[in-house]
Parts: sequence; structure tokens; C-alpha cells
Amino acid sequence: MASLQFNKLDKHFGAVKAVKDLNFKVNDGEFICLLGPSGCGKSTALRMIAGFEEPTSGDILMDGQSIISMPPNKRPTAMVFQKYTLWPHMTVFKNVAFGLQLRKLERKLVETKVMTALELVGLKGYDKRLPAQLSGGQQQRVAIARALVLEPKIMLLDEPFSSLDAHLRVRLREELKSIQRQLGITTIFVTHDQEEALSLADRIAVMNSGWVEQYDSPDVIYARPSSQFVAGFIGSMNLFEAHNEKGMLKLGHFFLKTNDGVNGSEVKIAIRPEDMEIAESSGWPAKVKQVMNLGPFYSVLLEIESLGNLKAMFPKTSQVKEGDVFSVLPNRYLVYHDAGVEEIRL
Amino acid sequence: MSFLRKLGKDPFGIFIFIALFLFIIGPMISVILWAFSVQWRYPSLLPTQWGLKFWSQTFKRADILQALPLSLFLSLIVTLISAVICLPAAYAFARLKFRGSQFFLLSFLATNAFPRFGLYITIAVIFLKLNLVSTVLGVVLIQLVNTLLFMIWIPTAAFKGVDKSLEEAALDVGASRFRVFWQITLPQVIPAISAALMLTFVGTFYETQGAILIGLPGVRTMPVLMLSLINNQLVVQYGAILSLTLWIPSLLMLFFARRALSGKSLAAGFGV
Repeated sequence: MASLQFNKLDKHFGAVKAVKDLNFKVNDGEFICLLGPSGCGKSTALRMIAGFEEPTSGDILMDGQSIISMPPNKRPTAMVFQKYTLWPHMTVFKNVAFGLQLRKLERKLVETKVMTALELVGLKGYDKRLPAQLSGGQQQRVAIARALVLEPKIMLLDEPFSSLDAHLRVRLREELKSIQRQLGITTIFVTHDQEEALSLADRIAVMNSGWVEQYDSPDVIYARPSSQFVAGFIGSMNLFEAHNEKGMLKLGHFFLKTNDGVNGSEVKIAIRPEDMEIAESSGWPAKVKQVMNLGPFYSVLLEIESLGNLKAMFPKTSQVKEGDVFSVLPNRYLVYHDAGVEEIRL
Repeated sequence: MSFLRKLGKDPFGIFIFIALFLFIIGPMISVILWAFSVQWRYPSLLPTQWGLKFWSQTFKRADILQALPLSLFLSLIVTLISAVICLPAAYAFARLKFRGSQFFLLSFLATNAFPRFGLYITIAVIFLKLNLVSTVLGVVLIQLVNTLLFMIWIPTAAFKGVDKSLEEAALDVGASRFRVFWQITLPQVIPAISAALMLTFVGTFYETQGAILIGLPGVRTMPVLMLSLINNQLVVQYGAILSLTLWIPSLLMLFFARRALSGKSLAAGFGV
């Protein structure tokens, strides 16, 4: 258990700046997700914590102590890799026990710890198998047990579930979260899957081309993405250009109210599909182009004159059908302007 | 059965089968027959007198009694030295990035890509000045040249095939670099390295060009001895018996190879 602090961390590979000016703090026991598209530097940041990459400049502090001069085999971190990295010539037991045996622990103690760890990840009785005899999900469970058994101060996971099928991914995600809560271990989880990040993390660091765009709780990141990049990356978002004139925002033929915080004449308006509502009559006339049944609700593609396509989410009770014509209005939207972002509710 | 049935429907297959039989199995049968005959006169189809008489005669010959242990010793020593030189080099080729690594890796092909005799002649001239001709050391050195390709290429490809994250995972749980190599990397490449060792051993055992040019007259290996027996002797049996004896290393290798390795690991060794 430990806290972690990045201080002006940079990593360059030749001319490529993989990580730029990383500055954030992870509290003791927190579950953090580094989220971003591929090539955004999230894996490099994680590998610097583990010690596999050396920072070009800056510092990483664990409980206030710099760890960057420590070699990876001395750091109190444990990593779960993206691919299954179990050692193929060792049994499950040996894989999990390897790190403990290096520490010259007593044999009985090693056995107890390994068995406890395997039970924790739901693989009791699998200790004599070889990795090749396990499914992908089971192998990743063993990898998690191998990391946990060392009681690391920080657990690092590099897209551990990305090669599993969707069902298994969700299940392992739930299991991981409950294990993390049970042990209270500080965890840093790298993913490009926003759903994974939103469901797992206490806080998410959204990364883009080497730096952190926003570091906040999933609720805040979803409700108030601080930049257009985050707005576009997290969840589904309708983005429109708008003019800020005479105290109103003009998009297409329509006007939306603004507030004092909005600066500049050219702004972007972002609307979540679930923030669209069917309006009485004074709204934007819309024609339903497509209806997709997503189980609990409909995902609807609307065509709005002068705005183009707009995604909306309506409850099942709305009974919308393709070809329907009605009025819609957003009940909440974000305005991205020169000086930041404003949230406005109608 | 299904093989023969398939063959029956394929005239071209039958042709190939017969050709293979005549050119490979045929001479082998002839050699075996000669080895166990005491007298075989034209025009009879089979030996006119069978027996093991020439076996005891062959293995009483002083030159053979000397050449067999020498050949085994040479092959063993060359394989060992080659492993000591080449395996670390192979690891370096696979894991370290250095300038010209591709060029150096390809350069090992050079000894096999061009007629070797030209190379050997120039080496022989140098060896003559160094008084290495007709010595065991000279033969060891010349035969080492032959082994470089297999001993570097196969293990290099094998080391490259070991997923780096396997090594990182071991480092991550606290293993030292040396332990990672010894307990994680090496076990993954054992099949490929065994293949390289066996190929090197057998290849060295059968090597003649270098052994003739550098070794004669002082150092005479089994294959070299066999050549002279075949060329100079009227007794065909000596050649046949030695040739049968020389199959033993190949057969042993095939036997171990089937057990220790699959074709897969050999193919992986060549980066296929």
C-alpha cells in the first residue's frame, strides 16, 4: 500500500515524445485508470513505474521517496501484462511461487501464500496445471495471483483483459474490483476501453498524445469532460459548431441560452445522447432515421434540419419508430469556448 | 494403407516413389549386403558367401582404431567450442540492438554461400605458416568455421522467439538478470539449441573438405579414412562396413531429434 506521485515526468524515444510533463498523484489504496487511445503514452507511463523504461526527465515518488534509480527487480510493484505472460515451462503453482521462492521464504509459507492467492482469483485446485492447459481468462487470473502474492505496494495492470472476449472481460473486471477493494491495494490500470475505465476506477487519467487531458472521478469525467478530446473520447457525444451572439448561442437555425462564463464568438456545443428529450412543440423538428434497440433503451439517430445527424437515447416508453417526426431539445449541454468549458442546464 | 491407396491413384506419385526407392534405398541395401558378405562374385544377385569376417578385420585395422575415437573427440570438442562462442553471440544478436547486427548475422552465411574450397585453400596457406597443418588444433579451427552458421542462426531465431514480456514478468517479481536468463529464457530455447548442437556434432563428424586439406597426413578422421579406403582398396567390404558404422551418429541424432524436438521447433529455429 502506497501513494504515488509523478513529478514533471517526460519520456522521449528519440524524437518521439511518448510522455510529456506527467504530473499527478495517486492516493494510498486508490484504483486509477490511465485511459487513452493507442500510442497516447499510457503504457509507457506504466512501464516507467515498473522500471522497464527509464524517464528522460522528472521523478516518480512512492510514499515520498524517489524510485527511479531502482531497478525493476527491486521495486515494490507487481505487473500484470497485456499478453499472457505465464512461464510456459512452469506449473501454475511454480508460476505464482517463483517470486516468493526468490525471497527465500520457508516452503510451508510459500505453499500457504500461493494457495491463498489462487483461491482469491478463483483457481483453487488448478495449481498442478501448465499454462497451456488453461483458458485465456484463467491464465490472466494466474497472472493476477502472481502479482498479488508478493503483496506489492502498487499493482500495475497493462490492458490485462483486452485479449479476452466481452463476457469474460466484464466478469474479470468485476472480480478484480472486488479483490482490489478487499485488499485495499493501490492499483494503476491501463486501458483504451472507456467502459472499463468508467466502471473500475476511483479516478481516471485521460491521456492524449503523451499528456494527461483530465484527471478526475469517472462521474466528473463523464458529465463534464474538460476538453473536446475527452468529450469525444468518453462515451458518445454530439458536437456542433455554434456562434456566441447577443447573449445566445446560435447553432444551425436554432438558439440555445448561454451564461456569463462563455467567452469568444466561436464555440463548440457538446450534447450527450441521453440528455436529449422529446419536446412539446417549441423544440428542434427532428425526423427519426434509425432506431436501435439496446435492451433497456432505444438509441435513435435523428435528422435535424440545419444541424445534420444527432444521436439521442430515449426510454422504451417513448415508442419511437423509424420515420416518426417530432420535436426534440437538450436538457443539458456543454459549451467549449476559448477559456474552458461551461455546463448549462435548461 | 491409406498412403499406398493414395499412391495407387497417382501415376506421378508412383514414379517418384520408385525413383526415390532406386536412388536412396537401393544403394543403402547394396551397402548393407556388401557389409555382410564374404564373397560376392558377378553375376549372382546376392552375395555368394555371407559372414562377419570382414567386420573383425575392419575393426582390427590400426588406422580405423585410431580414426574412430579421434573423430568422436573432434566432433565433441568442435561442438563444445562452437557452443561457447556462438550461444552468447546468438543471445546478443537476438536481444541487443547494435550497429550492423543484420550485416554480421548475414556474414555467417558467406561461409556456406560460396564454394568452401577456395576459402579453405587460403586458410591452409595461413595455417601452413603457423604450423597448424596436420595438427588436431588446425582441424578443430577449420571445422569451427563450418559450424558457425547453424550454431548462430538457429539459437538467434530461438532467442528472438522468446517473448520479452516473459523476461520482464520475471524481472518484475524480483529475479536478477542472470536468473531470468537461466530460469526463464534458456528453458524456452532448449529444443532449438539441442537441434543446433546435434546438427553441429553430426555435421562435424562427417566433414571431409577441411579435414582433408588441413588434417592430412597427420590427422585422419573417419570419413577421410573411408574415402581413401574406397578409393585405394580392392576390398569393397571395408568401405561398406565403415559406411554403415558412420550411419550410427545420424541414426542416433534422428532418434533423439524425434524425441527431443518437433519439426516445429526446428522450423522456429530457422525463423520459419
